[in-house]
Amino acid sequence: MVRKSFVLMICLIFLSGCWDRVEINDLAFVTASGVDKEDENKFRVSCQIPLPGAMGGAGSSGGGGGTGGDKPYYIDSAVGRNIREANDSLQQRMSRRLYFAHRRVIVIGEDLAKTGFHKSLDVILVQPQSRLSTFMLISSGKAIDVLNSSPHLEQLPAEAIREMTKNSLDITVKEVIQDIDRPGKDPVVPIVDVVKTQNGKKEEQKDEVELKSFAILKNDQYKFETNPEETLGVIWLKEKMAGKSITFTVSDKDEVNVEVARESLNVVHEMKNGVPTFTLYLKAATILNQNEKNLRVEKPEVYNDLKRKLDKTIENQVTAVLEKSMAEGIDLYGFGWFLFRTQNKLWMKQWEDSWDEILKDLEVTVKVDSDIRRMSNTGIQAEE
Amino acid sequence: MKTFIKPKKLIKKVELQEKTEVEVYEHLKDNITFLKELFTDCSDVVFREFNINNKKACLLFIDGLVDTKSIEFNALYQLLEEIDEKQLSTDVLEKDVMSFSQVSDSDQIDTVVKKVLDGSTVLIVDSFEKAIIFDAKGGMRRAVAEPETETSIRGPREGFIESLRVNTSLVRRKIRSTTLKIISREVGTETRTGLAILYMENLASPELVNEVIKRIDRIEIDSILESGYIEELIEDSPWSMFPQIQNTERPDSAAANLLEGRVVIIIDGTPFALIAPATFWQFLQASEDYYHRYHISIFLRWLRIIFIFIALELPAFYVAITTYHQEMIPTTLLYSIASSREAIPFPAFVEAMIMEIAFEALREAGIRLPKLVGQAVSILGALVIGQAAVEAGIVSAPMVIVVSLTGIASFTVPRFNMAISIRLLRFPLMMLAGALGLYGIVLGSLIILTHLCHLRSFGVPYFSPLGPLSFAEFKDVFIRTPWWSMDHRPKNFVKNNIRRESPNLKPSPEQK
Repeated sequence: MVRKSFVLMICLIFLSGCWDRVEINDLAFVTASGVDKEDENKFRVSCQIPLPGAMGGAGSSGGGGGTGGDKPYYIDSAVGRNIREANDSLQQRMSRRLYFAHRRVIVIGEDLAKTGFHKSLDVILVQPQSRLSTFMLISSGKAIDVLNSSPHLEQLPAEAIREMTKNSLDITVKEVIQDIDRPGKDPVVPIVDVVKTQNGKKEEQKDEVELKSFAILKNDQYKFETNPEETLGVIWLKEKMAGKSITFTVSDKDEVNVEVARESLNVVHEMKNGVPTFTLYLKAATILNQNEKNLRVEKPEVYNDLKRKLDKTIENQVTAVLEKSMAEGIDLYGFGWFLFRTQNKLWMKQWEDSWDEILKDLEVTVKVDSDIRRMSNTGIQAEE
Repeated sequence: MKTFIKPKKLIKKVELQEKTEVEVYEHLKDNITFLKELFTDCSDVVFREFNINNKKACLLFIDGLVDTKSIEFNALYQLLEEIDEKQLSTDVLEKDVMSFSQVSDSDQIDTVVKKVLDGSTVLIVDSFEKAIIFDAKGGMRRAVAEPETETSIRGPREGFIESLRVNTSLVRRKIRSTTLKIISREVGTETRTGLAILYMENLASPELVNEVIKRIDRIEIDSILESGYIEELIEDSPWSMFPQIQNTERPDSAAANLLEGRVVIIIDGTPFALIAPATFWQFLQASEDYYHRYHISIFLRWLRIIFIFIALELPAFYVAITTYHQEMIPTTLLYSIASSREAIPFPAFVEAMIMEIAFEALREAGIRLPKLVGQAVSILGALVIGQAAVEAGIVSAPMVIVVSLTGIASFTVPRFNMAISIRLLRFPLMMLAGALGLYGIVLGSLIILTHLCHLRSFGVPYFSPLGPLSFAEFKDVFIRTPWWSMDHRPKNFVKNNIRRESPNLKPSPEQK
């Protein structure tokens, strides 16, 4: 009896097993996908798939890799009424099963972003393979063009975009979905662009991806692109400025460059005449990197002057993006979300429905307290 | 101790050795005739007949087991030349003539035969009706040398040899106390292998000692040629893959275990002594752990624990992840695995099996072959497996790394018999991983863990002090605290005299 049940148990394990076994050589790893709008309710989904045989691993035939020869990846796209349908028709051209667990970035085309992409994100939530930690970007122009660009420092464009996103502002799909769902908060997504390299030789110019601005969204709709000043303002508001540098003018033709070492942002909320007002306290500790005018920072009056200028610069950057977005009824920082959390009853009763209108007249004060902690080098102190 | 297993009743007694109840005859002639009958065709038995003052006598011994020089000078010479005519009795011979340290007499032929076979020399004199037995053991023995299986950087360089007495003396040299007791037994109806059970009277629990003796007395077998025979005959769970009795070649290791209340069994004819009871963690400890500075010992112990996991689970883990859970591999690592697996014709499981079995075969060949050939084989094998197989696209480079890492990992287990269990258990784990993925590994590991917790060695839980949990014992399991802090003996084995050193032994500047 015992022996029989033992044999049965072994059979159970080994006969029922293996049903979902997939070898690595039978999978097509999608590293990046792009979604573009084709027609009304037609989407073009493009996938970037690395070619393991061409990636130059040990024992693989081919070799080569990034430089010279064929690219170690290929791009294919298909059209469908939704992303899954497009993927399914893409699958019909694939000898390997599409595998989305290693998707690094999702690029949404500009046209699609302007009309709203909420439905396209659903597929990521529903499909268990997809990761919520995938980075999301909006392309200026077609998403497929971004995937087709061939960055030179990495083997795969997806990898390059991912690394660049990590350096700028890494917005994951999860954050975007959360921000869309949260009342009184709107998402920000980096914009990825394809530019030509400027190596001085016109005929040798190559495609390269660039991340230099952000798309300010209203829920899932792309509203406007930030200019360089607003871009920094967004990063300040997201408290991700540490490690990045800003340059500001101290006098005619003389600029100072500081690197932000630490940043903290606190919001204080007050009621004035029954209307909510906000004060943003921004603290920044910086390191002086370039000092064109050779300012003697150790002197209190020079330091205070420099600090005032830095404060003003930061304040301008933050208020620029805040004012522009609030004028369009976009809650970039999430003041509404703050009220939702702290004064939920009032929010539900008074503000929720008319928040877009309130936002246009919302009083937000930005108070910056920056500090130049140290300087990397005193520079040339020419005697006068 | 209720937890001990009850020995099964033996149905038939093994009786192979011929037994004679005959007493020593009065006439020497009859004795010699009888004994020559017994020792027919035993060309190594020597009957040396001579006269002591016209009395016939005979010396009986086995050539090669005795020290013939000693017999010549201390027995033959005195008997032939220096004896007076006056009296000639067993008593006189024993007390006045024979200059040996151990002399006795017997009137049983059976005893005489046994003693001769043991290497003693027997003198039978006409009309005495008694035989005088004296000890002039000699013959060739290997010298005490460094143990080959348990080498160490720091620590004594002597190891047990094949002689029981030398081995007990090596332990006795370490523990010069009356509380070290050595009980002798003879096992094996044909081999009559000597066996010594060593224990510390004040430390080892009497139940344990009695249990060991009981289990050894139960053995009825024709031969004991190595300690492995005894080990398999007295262990608690004979079907288990895990060794429940530790063996050692090192007298210092044996002594240390004695001082922790364990029992050491030394068997004649083998340099491996058995230590019982044993716990799982004991097999992950080397005697050197206690000699080096404790920092490195702690580091090494953790290294072994990590590597025992690697040895057991790494190939299974690799198979499971590459065939079922590709999402778990970091993306860039996945690319390199994918690119090296691109041209491989086999599934990961088959690939792993091929490599693991090839590796085991290489290792076995390396051990069995003569040393000179062995080296050539291992170099050739390493080249074929490591280089050519990858280049030919039969196996992938990551798999070679996994297999070689596993091989290295299994060598970090200091006790060979535990390493064997780990090596074998990784095959079922690999099969489970190939069939069920990580779920299979978890399943298999749980079965192994449950089994380990279920095992007992002479009543001591095998997985203690982790299961059952006892924090007090942790001083000498995952870490090794400095000697001034290890003030208690392990409570699992020692019931009385728990304290091993005085408190406050930590060296510090003199307090004023």
